[in-house]
Amino acid sequence: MTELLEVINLTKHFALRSGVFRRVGTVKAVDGVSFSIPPKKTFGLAGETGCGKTTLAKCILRIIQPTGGEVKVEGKNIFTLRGKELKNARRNVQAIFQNPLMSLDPRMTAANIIAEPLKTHHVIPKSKMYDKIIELMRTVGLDEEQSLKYPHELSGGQNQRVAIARALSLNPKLILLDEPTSSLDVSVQAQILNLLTEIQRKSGLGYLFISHDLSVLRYFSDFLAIMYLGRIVELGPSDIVFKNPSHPYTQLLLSAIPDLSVSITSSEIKVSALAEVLESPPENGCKFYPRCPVRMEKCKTTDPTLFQVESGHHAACLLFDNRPSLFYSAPKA
Amino acid sequence: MTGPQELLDVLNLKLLFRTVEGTLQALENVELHIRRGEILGLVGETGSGKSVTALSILKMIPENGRIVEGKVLLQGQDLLAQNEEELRKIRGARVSIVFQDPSSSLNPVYTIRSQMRDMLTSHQVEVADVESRVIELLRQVGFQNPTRILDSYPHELSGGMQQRIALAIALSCSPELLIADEPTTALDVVTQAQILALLKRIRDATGASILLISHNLGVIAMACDRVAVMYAGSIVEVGPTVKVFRNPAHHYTRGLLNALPRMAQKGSELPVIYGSIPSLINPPSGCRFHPRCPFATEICSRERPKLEPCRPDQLVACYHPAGESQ
Repeated sequence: MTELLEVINLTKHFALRSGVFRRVGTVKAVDGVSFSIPPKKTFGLAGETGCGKTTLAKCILRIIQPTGGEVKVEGKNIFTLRGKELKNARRNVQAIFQNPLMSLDPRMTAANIIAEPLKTHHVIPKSKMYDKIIELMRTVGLDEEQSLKYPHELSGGQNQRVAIARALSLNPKLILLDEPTSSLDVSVQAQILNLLTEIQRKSGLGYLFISHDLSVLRYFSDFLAIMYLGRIVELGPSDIVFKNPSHPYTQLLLSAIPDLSVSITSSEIKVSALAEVLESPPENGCKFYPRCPVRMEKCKTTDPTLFQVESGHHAACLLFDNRPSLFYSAPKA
Repeated sequence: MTGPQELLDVLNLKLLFRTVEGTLQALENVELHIRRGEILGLVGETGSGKSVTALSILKMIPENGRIVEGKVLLQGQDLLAQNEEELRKIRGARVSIVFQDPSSSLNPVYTIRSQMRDMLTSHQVEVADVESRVIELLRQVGFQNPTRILDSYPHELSGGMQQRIALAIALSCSPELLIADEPTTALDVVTQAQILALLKRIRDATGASILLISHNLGVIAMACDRVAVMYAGSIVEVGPTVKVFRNPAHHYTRGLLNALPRMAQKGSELPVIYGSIPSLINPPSGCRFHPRCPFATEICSRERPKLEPCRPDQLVACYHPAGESQ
């Protein structure tokens, strides 16, 4: 079976420059990331600010050119496509971003925003355009009368619905959701998550859900990857990862999630992680070494690949280096 | 209500804003009692009036706002009746505040040292040696090697470090009340947990009361002894955090907790609160939550419910509070 999306050893390095030309170093924003998403499934991607989540998303959308690696949408590498083929491939992958006010043109009405992709790709005759827009608006729970409103006249939740309608307009196979509910209130977040679930059930599309909110990902995703400094450090079916978090970083993240039933006294953050991170990660070793509560001597000199913790569940930690390692293939559904 | 255990009492506060579209009734009969040495959480959604409640306590509301009713008593002294000169002595010294985005509350062109010294000298805090007091404060907020960062500028530090500096500055005059307005919203989860643990340590070490404002129910659960829930400019429920979150009495609190994806099964529908937040220019009559409440009756649209005890130590503003068991 062809995977919906395959990311193979994707790498994106940015040059750090001093002045205009002198290159003083590189930032490895995405550093050899591989995973795949089966059709109709939701793949969650979690990590802290600056771990490379958004850079990864931009590569998948081909907004930026990666330094190396491949991104395959239904088996086709999007970086080798040109012209018409590329345009068609782009229809299959759409995106929804965190702040709808910034991703929607303030000078366009909701109807025009939703119509734009339809016009660009000539998928529908002009005469049927209006009906299509209204149908899309109904799908996302907006009224016909809101079609003439501008983004500033709509609430955050309504704007996010417009963004969802725009993403759905071309019947994509995959929607990339970059923190889609982070700027929304809890009660609105629940409405948007319900809407996304319903759309997936009806039209069978896949989601790549990027979030720093692990409780949302636990509820929403089938597979989960945890990123740290440009790498995937843990990967597996999300219920298994939550049941048996194996990488020390995943454990740290989970212990830091505000949980309604846990007061901080009972889940005091591990002291070593509390300390300021003054050391930089070792050159050839594990990048989590400076913050790791269970670090070992060999972690300084060996860079871990993903090792199998249990079937389908992998962690990039030398605690598991007696297990088979995973090379560029992600868990199958 | 006012007893010796209360440090600050907000009584019957009513705040209006003049806007182009009309008068916005931002706060309506807000009543809040902060006890000595407690961390009180103030939780609510965008526009519920959390931040303006905090700003009202310090009488720092924007130009177009007007407090038409109510009192803010700090140990019996009404802060709203003080003139600017008196307020200057209170702000930062007895009541201090930390905001959401530390990079905008610190001055980018001054070093950490000079910003911290500023606070101590402007309030004429009597310390033998300003420099050593600065270092002591930085230790208190978790810097193990404070001298290293004294000559840094804010942009050289991470968000979590900046927020700790802002906390250190807020603590420099040993305030009786520290207001933290969304102090962790701009931070990552791990840093957030560190800051919340730090707030608890500060409370334990100094005995100061903390008013922690957040839209995040998890943050409140993690750090607060008691919680007050705000909806559309009023406090709808107050009580010990554990009790309120385990057994919410107000239907809004209950709806909020249910909307969190924490317990829900994957693929199951999340229960949502019907409708959306009302406009405060023309708010609903009676209980402001009644148009969205599944249990509303005739009286709810007619009369505003008062915040009254419903269970030990738990108050609710509702005519039909939810039962004890879920």
